[in-house]
Amino acid sequence: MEQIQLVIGRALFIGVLISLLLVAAGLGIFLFHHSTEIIHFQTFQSDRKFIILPNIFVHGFIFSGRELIQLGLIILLLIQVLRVILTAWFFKKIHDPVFVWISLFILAIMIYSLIRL
Amino acid sequence: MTILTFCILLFIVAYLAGLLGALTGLGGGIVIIPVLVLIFHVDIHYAMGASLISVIATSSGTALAYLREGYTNLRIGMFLETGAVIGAFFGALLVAVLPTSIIAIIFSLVLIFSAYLTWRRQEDTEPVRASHPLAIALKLEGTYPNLKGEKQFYQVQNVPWAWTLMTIAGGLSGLLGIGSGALKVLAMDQAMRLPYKVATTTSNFIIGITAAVSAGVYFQHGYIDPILTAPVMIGIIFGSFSGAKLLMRINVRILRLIFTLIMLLLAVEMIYKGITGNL
Repeated sequence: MEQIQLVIGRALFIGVLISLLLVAAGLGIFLFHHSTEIIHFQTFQSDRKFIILPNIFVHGFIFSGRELIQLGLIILLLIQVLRVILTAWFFKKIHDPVFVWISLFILAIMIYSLIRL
Repeated sequence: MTILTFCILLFIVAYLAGLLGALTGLGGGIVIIPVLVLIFHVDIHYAMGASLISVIATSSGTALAYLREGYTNLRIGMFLETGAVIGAFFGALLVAVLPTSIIAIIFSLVLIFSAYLTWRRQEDTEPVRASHPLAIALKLEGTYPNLKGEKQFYQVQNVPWAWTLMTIAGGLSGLLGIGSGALKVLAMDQAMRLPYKVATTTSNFIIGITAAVSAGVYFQHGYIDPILTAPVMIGIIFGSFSGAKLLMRINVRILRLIFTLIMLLLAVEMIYKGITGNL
């Protein structure tokens, strides 16, 4: 039982590492190209460029720094989905159907929040 | 200033925020937002987005260590999380509707309240009562390794009230882009009467899930800017890890007092700016 919990923990840790690497790489690439520009974060512009997963791959295989960061962030979110899936699996393994359903309920809300338009 | 300068500054500030967050127990998110808004003049929506991502990252990064120690109670966590995700979902939706000044004022009040809760931490002195019937039905009771290395059993109380508190905590998490760690620990520590380490580690585990639900909504509305979020996320992760290590070595009581006072000052300034409409 503890073994599965460790699997969850390790998956999360590796996932964050991957996300961190992508985000750092993306930031590096972006700064390489744009370091001397002036930044404006004062006013909020509804930048809805990042809505659904497929959008990221529209620009082809060569990611801009921005898109690489976004990929890293998406992976961070997907890792959370994985977290809940693994937890549901954990409860299935210890034969606790009530909590499998509880986990699936949380999973449903998570997925809904991610794909809702 | 140039983007490069900005990013370097952001990273340093985020590192310090993560450090402060870990030392004060408030969390990096609730520390970085006022700093970004008041000092860097970043729009609060972007700040909240960056904070939320950082919360997810630190929650995920530290989960393994806490799971290993054996304090995390997954049943309690997931059960309470059902409320938290509902709260988080609607809280995040509210962001699009509420004016910035209102959000800022709510944020400051939550910050002050969280600081108060963090300082109020005390061992429960009440005699141990039997677990709430729901806790027994759902098998929420558990054990944790006590100082002697044995498995210490604990009861679980006030289940409905804890769930309600959790839902509110989730709502605040979605509305403000924070982890609401202080409130979650409140639900588990004070309401459910869990041993403190069980409460904090379980809270830490589920914070990432709550924040992910909010983040989904934030992405939809475009509140998460990659260029702002990236250095903040990286900085807070490293800062939190450093802070956690520091906690184990030095006597932090005075440091925590100083930093908590700084946070309160920022909270007051945010309320002021929120009321006068300067945000």
